[in-house]
Parts: sequence; C-alpha cells; structure tokens
Amino acid sequence: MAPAPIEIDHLTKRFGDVVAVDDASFQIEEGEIFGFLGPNGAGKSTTIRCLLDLIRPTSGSCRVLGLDSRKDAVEIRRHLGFLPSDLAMYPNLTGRQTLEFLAHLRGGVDWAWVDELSERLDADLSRRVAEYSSGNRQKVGIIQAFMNRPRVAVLDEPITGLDPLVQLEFHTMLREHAAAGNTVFLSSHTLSEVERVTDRVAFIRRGRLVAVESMDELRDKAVRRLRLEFAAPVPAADFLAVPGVHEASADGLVVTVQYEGSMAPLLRAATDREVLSVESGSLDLDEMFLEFYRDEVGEDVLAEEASEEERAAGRGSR
Amino acid sequence: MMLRTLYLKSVRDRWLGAVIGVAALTATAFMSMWAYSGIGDDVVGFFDQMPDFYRTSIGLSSSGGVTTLMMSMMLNFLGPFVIAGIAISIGAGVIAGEERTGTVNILTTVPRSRRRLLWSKTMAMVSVVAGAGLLSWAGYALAVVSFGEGLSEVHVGASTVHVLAVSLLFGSLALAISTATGQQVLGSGIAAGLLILSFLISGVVPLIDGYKSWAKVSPWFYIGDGEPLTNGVQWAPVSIMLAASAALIGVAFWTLEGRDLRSGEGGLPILERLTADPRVEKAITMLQGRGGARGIVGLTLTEGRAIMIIAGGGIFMMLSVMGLLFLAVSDFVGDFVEVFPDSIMAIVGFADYTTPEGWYHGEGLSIVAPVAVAVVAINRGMSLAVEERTRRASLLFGNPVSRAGVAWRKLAATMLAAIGVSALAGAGVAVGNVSAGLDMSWANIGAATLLLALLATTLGAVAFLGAAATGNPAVANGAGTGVAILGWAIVSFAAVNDALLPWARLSPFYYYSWHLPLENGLIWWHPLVLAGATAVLGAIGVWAYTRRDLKG
Repeated sequence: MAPAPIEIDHLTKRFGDVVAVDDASFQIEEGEIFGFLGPNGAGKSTTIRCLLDLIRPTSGSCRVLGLDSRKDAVEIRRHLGFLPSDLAMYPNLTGRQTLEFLAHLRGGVDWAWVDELSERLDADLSRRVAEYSSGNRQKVGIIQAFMNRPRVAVLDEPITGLDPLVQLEFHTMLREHAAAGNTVFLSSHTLSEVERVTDRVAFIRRGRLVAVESMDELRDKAVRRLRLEFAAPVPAADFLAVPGVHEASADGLVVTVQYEGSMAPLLRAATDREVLSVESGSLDLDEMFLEFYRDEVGEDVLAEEASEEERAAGRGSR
Repeated sequence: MMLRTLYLKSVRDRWLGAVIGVAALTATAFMSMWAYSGIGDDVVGFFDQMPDFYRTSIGLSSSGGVTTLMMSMMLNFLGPFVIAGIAISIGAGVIAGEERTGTVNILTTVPRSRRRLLWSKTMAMVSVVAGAGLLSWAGYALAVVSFGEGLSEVHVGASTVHVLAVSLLFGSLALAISTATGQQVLGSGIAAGLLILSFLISGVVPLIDGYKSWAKVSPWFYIGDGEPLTNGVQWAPVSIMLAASAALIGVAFWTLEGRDLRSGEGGLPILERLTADPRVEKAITMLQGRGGARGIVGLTLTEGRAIMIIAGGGIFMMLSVMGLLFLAVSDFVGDFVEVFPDSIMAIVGFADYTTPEGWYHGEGLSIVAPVAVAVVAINRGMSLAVEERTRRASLLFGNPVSRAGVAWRKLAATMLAAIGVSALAGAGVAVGNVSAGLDMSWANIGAATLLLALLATTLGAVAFLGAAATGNPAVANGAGTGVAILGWAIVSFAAVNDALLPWARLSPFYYYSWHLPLENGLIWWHPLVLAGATAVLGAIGVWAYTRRDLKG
C-alpha cells in the first residue's frame, strides 16, 4: 500500500512554556483536498512549518509520502508545492525572474506549464515584485507552488487578495489537481472556500486537534435549524423538552429551534398550534466553526450572531 | 503642532540604537584612556613635537595631555561618525521609512496633516540625536574621571555642540532627500556618502599647498574649526550648520506637501527613467545578469550590488588617485611627517609617509579600505538573517534545497562579495602604482590585497555566524561591526601601549596590518590565521543554522 501523502503522528511543538501544537495526529489521503481550520494562534501554521522542516517537532513526527519531514526534507520538497501565508518575495526581481529563480533551485520545471498557469490566473509577470498589488503577488505565489506539478500542495491562505473570478479559476485548478491523483492541504480562514472545495476538514483549537471529518459527514451530523412562524406567540421553552432539540428561542411570532435527528417529534409538537410557515436549513461551515470554538468566541458574541442571522432570515422570508 | 503620541513612539523606536552607538563610543573612550595612560607623561611631549598644522586640523590643544588626546580622537573622528550616522539613519526613515514598510497608509488615515506628522517625527530625530550627544558627553567625562584625569583643560560640551550641529546637518540632508523622493535608501546613501567625502576633504585638502581654504566647503571642517575643545563653542559655524539644517528640514516640508505617498518598496525614479532607455537597460541587464536564473549565490550578490558598487567603486577610485596625490604632496608630507613622534605614527602602524608604501598604508589601507570591505562583507554576511526577517525563508524552503545548502551558498556569496571589493581595492593600488610610477613591489601589493580580502571574509563570517545562529539581522550586523570596531581599536591602541599586544593578537586587524604587508610583504601564517578563522566561523554558522527553528 502506498504511504499516505501527509501523515501527522502525535505532533507536539513547544516554544518555551507555550504549547503551540499538542499531540496532533491525522492523515491525508491521495487525491484528497483537505481543509485545515482554526482561529488565529490555534497551531495551523506551526503544523505546516513542522511539515516543511522550517521548525522541528518537540515530539512526534510528520511524514510526507512516507518520508520523514526532518531526515528527508530535501526529498520531500521535490514532490511538494508550498504557498506560505503572508507571502514575501524578492522586491527587485520581476514576477518572471522570481519564478526563474525558484525554478532554477527546484530544477525540471516545464515552462509551457508555467505559462499555462500564468494565463489561467491572468498573471502579469513582467513587473517588479515591489510594484505588484497583493493579488498579483499572490498569483505569482500560486504559480510557484504549482509549477512543478507537485504530488502534495500545501497552501496557507491561498486566496488572500485574489478577485472572485481568479478565486473561481483557482478552485477549478485545485479540483483538477486533486482529480489527477495529487493531494492538497489547504489552511484557510475563508470558510466558504473550504466548504466549496475540500473533501475533509480538521479543526484545531489551542494546539489540539478537535475533529477530523469529511464534509459529507459534517453535513449529516450537523445540527439543523427549523424556523416556525405561529399565528400567536409561543414560548420557546415548549420545545426544549422535545427529543433531539438543542436550543430554542422565540422572537415575537417566530420560534427558531436547533435540533438533530428526526424532525417528526418537533413537527408534532409544533402542529399542536396554528403554524403559518416553516423553514428548514442546515448550519453552514461558519456556524459549525463557531460551534467548535464557542467558548473562545464568548456566548454573548454567539447570541448576537444568532439573532443577527434570525433577523436576516426573517427579512429574507417576507 | 507636535503629535505627542507619534513623537514618543518615534523616540521609542530609535533610542535603543542610539544608546548602543553611544555605549560603543564610551567603551572606546575607556579603552583609549587605558592605552594612552600607559604612555604616561611622554604624551605631553608628543604634542610639543607636533606641527601646528596637525594640531589645528584635529583640534588638539598644545597644552594637551592624555585627556586631550582621547577627546580629540573621540570628538573629531569616531564620535562624529557615530552621531552623524545615527542622525542619517533616523532622518532617512522619517517619512520614507513609513512608506517603505507601508505603515504610512495607517499613519495618514488619522485626521492629522502631513505637516504635523513630519514635524513630530523630525522633532523625534532631533531629540534622539541631541540625547545621543549628551550621553556621549557623559560617557567621555566618565572615562576621563575613571582614570584619575581632570576635565578642566578641555571643553567637552563645546565640542559636543559642534559635533551635534554637523550631525544634524547630515541628518537633515537625509531627511530632505528621502522625504522629497519617498526613497529611504537614496536619502541615507547620499547623506552617508557626503559624510565620508566631507571627512576626506577636511583631512586631505589642507595637505595641499594653496588649497587649504577649500576645506571650508566641508561641513566636517567645522567640527574642529576654532578649536572648540580648547576655546569653547564657536557660534558662527555652529549657527551656519543649524541654519542649513533648518533650511533642509524646510525643503522636506515643502516637498512632502506636493507629492504622492508611496506604499511599499519602490524603484528610484531617476533609475527608472534611465532604464526606460533600451540602451541603458541592456547595459544594466549585462551588469546584473539574469537575476532570476543564477541561484542563491547570484541572487545574494545581485541584492547587494548597490552597496558593492558604491563601496568597491569608491575605494577603487580613491586608491587609484592616491598615487598621483602622493606625487603632489610627497615633498611636503616628507617634511611634515619628520616632526611626528614615533608613538603617534604607531597609530597608523609606523607607516613612513615619505614612501609610497607608507602613504598608501596610512591614508588608504589602515582605515578607509577596511571600512569599505567590512561594510560589504558584513552586509552580505547578514543576508541569511534577512531572508528570515522578510519571511522569504519559507518561500525558499518550499524548494528541494537543504538548510546546509542554503547556508553554504549564502556564505559563498559573502566571501565572493568580500573578495570582489578587496580585489577592487587592490586594483586601485595597482592603478595608482602604475599611473604615478611609484615602483611599489607587485608581490607586496598582492600580499596587502590578499590580507585585505581575508580580513573582509573574517568579518563577513562573523556577521554570517550571527545571522545563522539567531536569524536576527541586527545581531548579525552588531556582531560584525562590533568585532570590526573593537578589533581595529585594540590594534591601534596596542601600537602605543605594548601591554595590549596580547589582546591585539586576538584581533583580525593584527594579522591584516600589524607588519605592514605593503612595505614588508607577507608573513606566511597571517593569511592562514584569517582563512582559518573564516572557515571555522563559517562552519559553526552552517551547523547552527541546521540545528534551530527558522523564523520566517
């Protein structure tokens, strides 16, 4: 059996007393686009930097294509494409000179492919990096990450600064890359991007991995929301005892309930009254993300967020 | 008009660098007091034997003792370089530094005018420079008192006022140029170049009969004009310097109002206009090579080409014309030097100014050439840490290159830069030798060039080790510069105080110049010591780089 493209095994990284990553383990499969989520300072970049051998694990290990990130760092990088977050390049080189420099370091780059990537991303390679907008700089970063057709692409906040059209093209590139049997490890704060393109996601929180789920599983397991409009006000507490209900809140004639499992008991409880309208929906990744990090965000922020959404939903249904 | 918060932040950003500079001056003052005290009463005799012209040009008092000798060196030579250097560094960054880092975008969103921003940061520059002057004054006084000497003979405060006036002039020049263009490098480069030129004009022009008064065009001349160390503040030249500074600051205000602000690093407008010409562009491309295709060594050299061209070209030009200059002054210099006591000549390694070898050593190879090659070598030596500070290390290590491979290549580039600039210095001596028919030994020119190159590689390797071990460019720069200054100082002081000789042997400058290679040729093991030191420092640096977590 071929080794996993990326395998993080009980990885721990300490900086003095601070534990940046704490005993994290996960594996990414071939042909997979894997999302890596977490708030600032959760340990995402530390994990990636261990993977790249920029920093060394305090304990545990990282393996890429079966090779050890520390002992086989150079060999790993032959098969890797990496886009760092907050990309910095050589200001006095043009975009093309930057790519030539990196291609020279790497060796074996097909320039027809580089030209094709440039065309797809509409990148202007003739200007000096110092004169680029952040979006154009990011395009050069993406091209350099893909110019060797890497078996494993590690991308840290790749769509920063890109306009929506280029984002769409980039996501198409990601899917094509994965469909060709390659692997993409995507760290991002843009949850809509992760939701759109990834097959699985990992959530990391204060250095600890809190969940690794496929997007389908996440959707299946996700708490769903039912918005019920009644002819007369109904107390939210009437629904809290219904099996599967997590939360219920009332705002005038509208009661919003979050539940999991079958909807039937909830509908039975609701239809005891006169129901004017019913709306159902799943929590999106943004909301799931907030669920994972509820205690970090603070209950008051979450409550405000929820009431904002309800108000927005109310406006939309009228 | 001043914005207190911005003023205080600007002072906070800059005070540490200024304090480090002044601490180095104070340490040097202590060291020189230690060295000169060892000469004892003889030092007074040296001054009596010196020609009037020499005493006047460096502001020495005829009644001077150990204190005066030390103060003259600090206040007329080292001190002005350090304080003016601080002023230039701050002045060039006042607005252009904010533009380079992009922080000007945040700064200009506050509802305050550009004028107030500029005024607040300019006042911060003036405050830090004045503070550095005051601290240096205290440091010198402490050094004097610590060695049981008195301060009654010398007006340290008056001389400090002169140093401050000239330093502010150069700081204001850097401020005016960089604020007018948005180019921090341009401002600091021109101001630093003019500072060095001003020092050279002030020192060399008075040696040429009939041209003495031309030295007055040099601001540096006014540091010692009227002997402030003996006679107190000379308000006329000080007032002119301060008025010129105010005018330059006025230029900064005027030009800032009318131009677009930059964000991030940009090209020099003059160069951009020049390179728009296809012929010039072709020449520059030939000079630069294809930066993107040459690997880490090529890119590191390309990134440092500005400093290499300025330092290498400058030292080549200077040493090239020194041959003809020797012919012009050789009669006068012969008479002039004859009256110098041996212990003073020891400061320039007993160079015999009546010979071309001594002239070249004393005026070119003892201080100026080492400064030129050290600046380049240290600058390139720290480039490994710059990759981390600018966060480019992570881009670099996305490619199949090993840590050791990157470090060795950076070290190789440092060595090439050091050797290249040293070769230009050697070529300058050779051109001077031929053009003036000086008949210096080609083997000795080769020996001096070799030792200069190895001095440069050693200092570059020190900076490289600092960069590799810490990833901090400031540490790398401080290590290289610190070893260079302390190494030079200990060898200079050992020349007048034998007790320091064992310490001098720890300095790379000992192996570079102690035995005057231009005159006496090579002592075979001296280059081996420097080459060995380079190799060991480099190897430790590479080892340290492979062992630690990277920052960028």
